[in-house]
Amino acid sequence: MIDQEPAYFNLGLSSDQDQTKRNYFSMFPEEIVASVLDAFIINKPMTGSAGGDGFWVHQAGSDLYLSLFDCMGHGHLASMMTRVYTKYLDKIVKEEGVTDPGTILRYLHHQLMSKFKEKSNKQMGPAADVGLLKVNLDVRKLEFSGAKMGLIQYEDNKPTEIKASRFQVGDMYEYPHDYKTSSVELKPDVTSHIYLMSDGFKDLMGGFDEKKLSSKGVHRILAKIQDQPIVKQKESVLSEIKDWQGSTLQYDDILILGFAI
Amino acid sequence: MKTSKAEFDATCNLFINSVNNYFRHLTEVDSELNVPYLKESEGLVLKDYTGMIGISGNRKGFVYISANRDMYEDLIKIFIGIDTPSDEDILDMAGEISNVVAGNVRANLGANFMISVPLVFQGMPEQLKIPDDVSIYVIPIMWNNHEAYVVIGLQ
Repeated sequence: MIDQEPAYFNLGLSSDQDQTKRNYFSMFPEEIVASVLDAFIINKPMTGSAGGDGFWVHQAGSDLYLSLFDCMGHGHLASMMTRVYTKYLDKIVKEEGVTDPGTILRYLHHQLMSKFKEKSNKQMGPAADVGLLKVNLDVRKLEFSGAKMGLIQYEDNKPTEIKASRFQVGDMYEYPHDYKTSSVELKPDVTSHIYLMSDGFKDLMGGFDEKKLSSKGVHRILAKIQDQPIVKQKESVLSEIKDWQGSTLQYDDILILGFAI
Repeated sequence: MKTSKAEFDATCNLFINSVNNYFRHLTEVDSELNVPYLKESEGLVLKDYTGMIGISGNRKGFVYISANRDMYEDLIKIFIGIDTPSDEDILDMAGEISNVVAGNVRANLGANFMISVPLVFQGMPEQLKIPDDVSIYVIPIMWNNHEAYVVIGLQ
């Protein structure tokens, strides 16, 4: 990808008038999540003002549903696919009332299969890594299901990872996709930090010898911030990203959700 | 630095080639070039949706590609397979095409030809102002029975 200047030539328009930017960033309702959870969202498209990482949130009574998805590709075309995902999640959860995270992912896969299976050889495929969380705000209960996107939990500074299914949503239609719902164990009276992220974070190039940050690097960063409040964690993660990346180009979109429960 | 007539023509040709290549290689349907012209009167030629890129570096100005909704709908069907795209999808498509076309021109012209991220809009924003010292070259194209404008403005 070629370097791009952030500023526009003097045409009387600023990026505030960029409708794509407004449409895309409206998908990241940090305020909605932060109003019910102590949470942060980091959204850094690879280039420009749109990307293939998306975010969806829905509250039904005391249940809060959160989903992160990392669609194939980058830029404006991938951004279109993120809207397909939000539309189907709305349909499955809001309209059809499906409540189990694993079942939601399975239905999501079937929706994409019925829409895109016969449309092969497109520039932009419909596959995505997806993580879906259901948080019961009354009884402090957390359920998770992931399609190639795991969940990281830190409790008492100790990390736990809930592995995801190896199958993405919207891909490999010839295989049955069965997404498991896992309960996330939460110790009473101990604050747990939960993280979901697209693989653009661990694949971020940088460091002294221009290599990927890696899962190990992600855990190194997360371990460092465990004593910080969530608001400060966001600043710290952004600063770590900047330090690691240096002047190296970003090759993938980055989306990170972190919250305390 | 002002762009000389020869440089201006050469840059326009790069954009024309980039647009032709975009349609030929990505859609397998050739675009047809209609007679380009220098725009002298005030105002801009715009269709429903526009993706605009600012140019800076050795050359300063802008390029935009503007087309009606039906052209972007056809492109989205071809590229992604979404049959009923939303307004947001249309705007994304307008941004994508201008970004790819300008990006390919930049790849030819090197580091001194800088491009901005695309600015995407519907209709004619009131705030849009074109500097007086910019020469505007309008290239009407036809693709798949849809007319679009590739408009290049350079100092």
